[in-house]
Amino acid sequence: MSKQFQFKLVLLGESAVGKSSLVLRFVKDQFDDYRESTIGAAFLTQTVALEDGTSVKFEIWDTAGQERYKSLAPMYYRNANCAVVVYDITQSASLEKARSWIRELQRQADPSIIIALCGNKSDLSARRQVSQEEAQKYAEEEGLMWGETSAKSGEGVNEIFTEIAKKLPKNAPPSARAGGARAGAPRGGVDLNKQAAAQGGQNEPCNC
Amino acid sequence: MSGTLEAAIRDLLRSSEELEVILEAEAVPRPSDTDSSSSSSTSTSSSSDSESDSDAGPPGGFAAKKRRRGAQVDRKRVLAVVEHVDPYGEEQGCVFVCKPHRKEADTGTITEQYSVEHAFPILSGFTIAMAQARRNTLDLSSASTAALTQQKSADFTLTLHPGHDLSQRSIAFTIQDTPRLKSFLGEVKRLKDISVANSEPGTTPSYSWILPYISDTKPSILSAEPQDLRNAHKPMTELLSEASAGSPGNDALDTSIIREYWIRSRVQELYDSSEQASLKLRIGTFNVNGKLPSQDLSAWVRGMSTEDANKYLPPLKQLSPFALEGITKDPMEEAPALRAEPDIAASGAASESSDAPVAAPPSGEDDDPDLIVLGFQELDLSASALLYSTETTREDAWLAAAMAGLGEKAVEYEKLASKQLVGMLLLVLAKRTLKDCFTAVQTASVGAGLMGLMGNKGAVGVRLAFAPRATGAARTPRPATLTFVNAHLAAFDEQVERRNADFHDIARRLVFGGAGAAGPAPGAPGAHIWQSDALFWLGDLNYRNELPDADVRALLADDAVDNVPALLEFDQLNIARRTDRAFANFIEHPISHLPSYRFSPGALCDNLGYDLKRKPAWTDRILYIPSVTAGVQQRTYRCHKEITMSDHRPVSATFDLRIPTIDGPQLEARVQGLWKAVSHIEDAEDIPRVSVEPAAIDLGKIEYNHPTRRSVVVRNTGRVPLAYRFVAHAPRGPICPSWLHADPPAGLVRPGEHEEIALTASVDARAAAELNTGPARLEATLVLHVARGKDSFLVVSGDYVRTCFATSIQRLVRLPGPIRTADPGRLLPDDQAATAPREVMRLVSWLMSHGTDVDDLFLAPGAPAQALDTGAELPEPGAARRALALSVAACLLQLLAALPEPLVPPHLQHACAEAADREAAFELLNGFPGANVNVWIALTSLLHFLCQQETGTPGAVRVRQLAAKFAPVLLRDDPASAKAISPLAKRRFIMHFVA
Repeated sequence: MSKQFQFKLVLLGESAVGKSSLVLRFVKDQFDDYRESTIGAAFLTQTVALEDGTSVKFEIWDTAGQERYKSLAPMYYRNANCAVVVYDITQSASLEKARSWIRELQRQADPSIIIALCGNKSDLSARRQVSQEEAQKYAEEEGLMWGETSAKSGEGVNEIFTEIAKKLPKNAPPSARAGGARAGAPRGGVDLNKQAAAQGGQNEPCNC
Repeated sequence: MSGTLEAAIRDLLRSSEELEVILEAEAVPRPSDTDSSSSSSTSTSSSSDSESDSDAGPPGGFAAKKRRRGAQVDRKRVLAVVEHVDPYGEEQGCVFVCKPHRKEADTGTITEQYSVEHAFPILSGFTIAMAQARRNTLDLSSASTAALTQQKSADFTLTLHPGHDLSQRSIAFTIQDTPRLKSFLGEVKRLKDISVANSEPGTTPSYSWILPYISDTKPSILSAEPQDLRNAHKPMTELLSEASAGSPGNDALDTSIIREYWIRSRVQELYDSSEQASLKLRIGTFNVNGKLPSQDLSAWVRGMSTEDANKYLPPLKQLSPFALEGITKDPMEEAPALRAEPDIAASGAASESSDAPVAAPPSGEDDDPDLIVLGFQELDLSASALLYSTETTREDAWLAAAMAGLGEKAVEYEKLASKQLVGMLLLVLAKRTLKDCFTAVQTASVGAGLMGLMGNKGAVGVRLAFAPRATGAARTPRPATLTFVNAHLAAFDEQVERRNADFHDIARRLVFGGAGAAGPAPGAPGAHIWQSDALFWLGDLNYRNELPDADVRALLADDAVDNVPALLEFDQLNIARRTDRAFANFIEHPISHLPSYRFSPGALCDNLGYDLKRKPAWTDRILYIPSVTAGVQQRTYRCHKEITMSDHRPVSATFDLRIPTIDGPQLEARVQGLWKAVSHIEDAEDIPRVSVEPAAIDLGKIEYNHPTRRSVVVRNTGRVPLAYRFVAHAPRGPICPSWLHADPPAGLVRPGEHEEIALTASVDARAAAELNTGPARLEATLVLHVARGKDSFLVVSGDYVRTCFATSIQRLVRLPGPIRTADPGRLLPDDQAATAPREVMRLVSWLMSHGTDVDDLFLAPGAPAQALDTGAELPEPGAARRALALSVAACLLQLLAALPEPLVPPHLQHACAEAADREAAFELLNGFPGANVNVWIALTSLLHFLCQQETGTPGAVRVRQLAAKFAPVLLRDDPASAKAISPLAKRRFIMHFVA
């Protein structure tokens, strides 16, 4: 009998680094060459089965990267168990932006938050501006997880989410874990909130 | 048989659920149900119809037999063990209690369909108790013959206990199918073992998959009863769950609420486009102090008398103060028939001052009322009357007097209903020609006096249905339910809490068709007063006034100023309504008459005739709540001073009711159709998709008191209906900043359709006080959340134009120039500050030079000019000098009223109110900030000068009028202060300087 754990995950990073594409690859195993910029925050769920027989269900908030919406980001990383901060390996400025997100998370998010730094667009390594060494070194200094991904090819995508799933603490009761993820959640009795989440399962469609 | 049954149950389920076993059962009636079911089988009353969909046969032997069988069918249930397997292989079980509905097809064949009546999650707390059924026990619990014949071979009773969920009661069934019972219990045990094995201490597993099966997600609009009036006007946003950006709240609950509002607003369109039947209603209330009728009541009953004709109230645009935010617009504004009335359209100014008499004679007054509702209190004060006398001599006497009051028209009316409880009597007279339109007349009474038993206080009520005449479009018009309550609440000044409690007590216990004064058992038939299309509450409510006796009398005696509005601020009923302690949601037409209590011939009284031993008060009142479907327009609200036989004066009101003539079956079909279109949001496979355009809106210039409006379009680009709502950034925060408003704040959009949301930037004094000191560039990001979908961001921006209005005096004096030219970041240092704000001083000096000979300066309305922010010259007085002076004066008043803090500092106001003489008053100025003193002196000098002018009005009268005008502005009440200051004391303080 599998045990399921639920965690809130938030994606942060500069505009156009591929946050939504990364989620689309992870949740639906699809890729769009031309995606519109996210104006808002999309909510999706995906479950990762682990080797020890447990499974981890991510409640994912894919946030808008544009600077003008920055003031809203804290609402979405509030109570998050993990954050994936994405940069584009072909844009060194995007790593700078990622650093500033990480600093903000370290200062303002839940102290137990697990942060993964993710270099996306590894299929474009010919135009690489951020070296693996530089990013990895930074991640080690800050105690972050790190990986490179390509939402386009799918390379590294499942791996990074699986690594996060493994690293998340699973000592607390499963439903209490995600307690902060959705305010007004279980008060005993049937949990009406989990309506959408409970039905979709593996093939949760994208809601953007 | 069981194969088709299984198929029927399986039809109910979705693919994610598995049907394990079914069991036929019969529900054991609860004790409270027993009465109604037994009476239905012995007589042919219709009380069992609430359970049965199909029994509609005429009374008689065959029908009665059929009914008995019907009752048996009504108890038939199917218990089903259903298993849900989630994508990770986890199993959850649930017992569904399914109820049959017989459905007759066009061909005449009857099929049975099932719905889920209850769902019991099989959790660790869930238990089933089983007992061998003993016939005699059952015989006693259900005395009906139908039940007797049924119990021939009942084997087991099975009681399901929900365990952890306290909101659900245990339910008992009798079972005959013993072999199946075994497999049923086995399956339940297996699933319970799984549930126990999986359970984590302190947590409750999510059982969200059962939600779509539970039928109470259906909107109450599908019920034939009128909507509860307490909810009818509630803004939808008050009901939605708590949510904010990143924390969507309870999407399922929100969806059902938004959907119900959506259906209601669509149904409203049907109402609005239908013909409106008019019903003229006259209501009166009279505490007769135990007297028998001895005077002509025509003025009160018919509103016919010379004195009254002059006091006709202008018809006010009486809007509900709780207009449905969002989806449903205010019904009275929307109703086309009402909008067409010229007197309403032109009432803009009149609605501000209800006391202004209208010269035009009351055109509607000749129209005789269709329905006359008269409430009496203290009909009989004798001791024996308290013992629930059944005598009707007093009623007969008052009915005769009322008929006599109708004069030659009396023949056109007859009594429709009456209800008496000791001293309280409610008489309903209807026009004979309309009598057949009134049906389902019910009466009720409830005592609220000594322990709720004695009838000296309490209420009597009449509930009736009015069906408009059938038209071509509406063959069977849906009747509107009208409820009238005549109450007599606890007496004495200090008993205000008792009165509030009486109100709630009566509202709860006054039940029509219920089981009597004690109130019906839950589930028993009976309608409470809120289940109405319009509710009228009249009577001697006994609310008094919070001002001291001397102040009340002085204000009433003041012939310079109409003090009724100021006095009503301190009326206990108005306070109770303002603070939601009682009569919340009720509307009362503004009162322009003097108090109706207490007059006693022979006793010591003041010049107005009020008894010196009792504080004059508006004890006799008439209030109402309309539904969103019935339009209620009040025409008059008066007190009849010429009827002097009691210590109270009777009070009357006339109403025009607009009842939509709408075909009942057509309405039901419409509702069903709408429901079908949007009922499957929660369990749809698809996720809703939305586009909000544009994503950014620039409102341009945003000015004080000049609303700017733009709209955005919410488009449903997906395949399922979407429910959206704006959510706050942070929990419990506002969805918009103070200067911005989004309407509707929540809604539903069907696939392929779109909805416009109006974004209005409007800056009132409160918002301006905040914005005047902040950055000029305004920007707000609104978060629009779609249930089960994403959050969309909407950036709204604009350029705020600063204004001296709502800027504090301390800031105004430090501005280096007019506010729009000055750099707000560079205020003058204190030692260079002006001695008084130049904006105020410019207005005062203009008025000193050009306005002192205007007789009604400050007292007549003017359109405020705004040259203060730019520093432009005030206009030179030309030909229209009077109008200009009035405008400048209005501008000055508005400027003072908009100050973030009143000119008299709040902490000094109580001391000011107690200043005994001029000297003490001047002494108090020492506590004012310097600039405030200068403004105070300049202003009171102007007022003093005005009062010295030789004009048509005597100076002493003008002093009182101006003091009355300025008192609420200069000594504005501090909302934080516990005790409000008497308007008389405020005026006295100003008069120390002006007189």
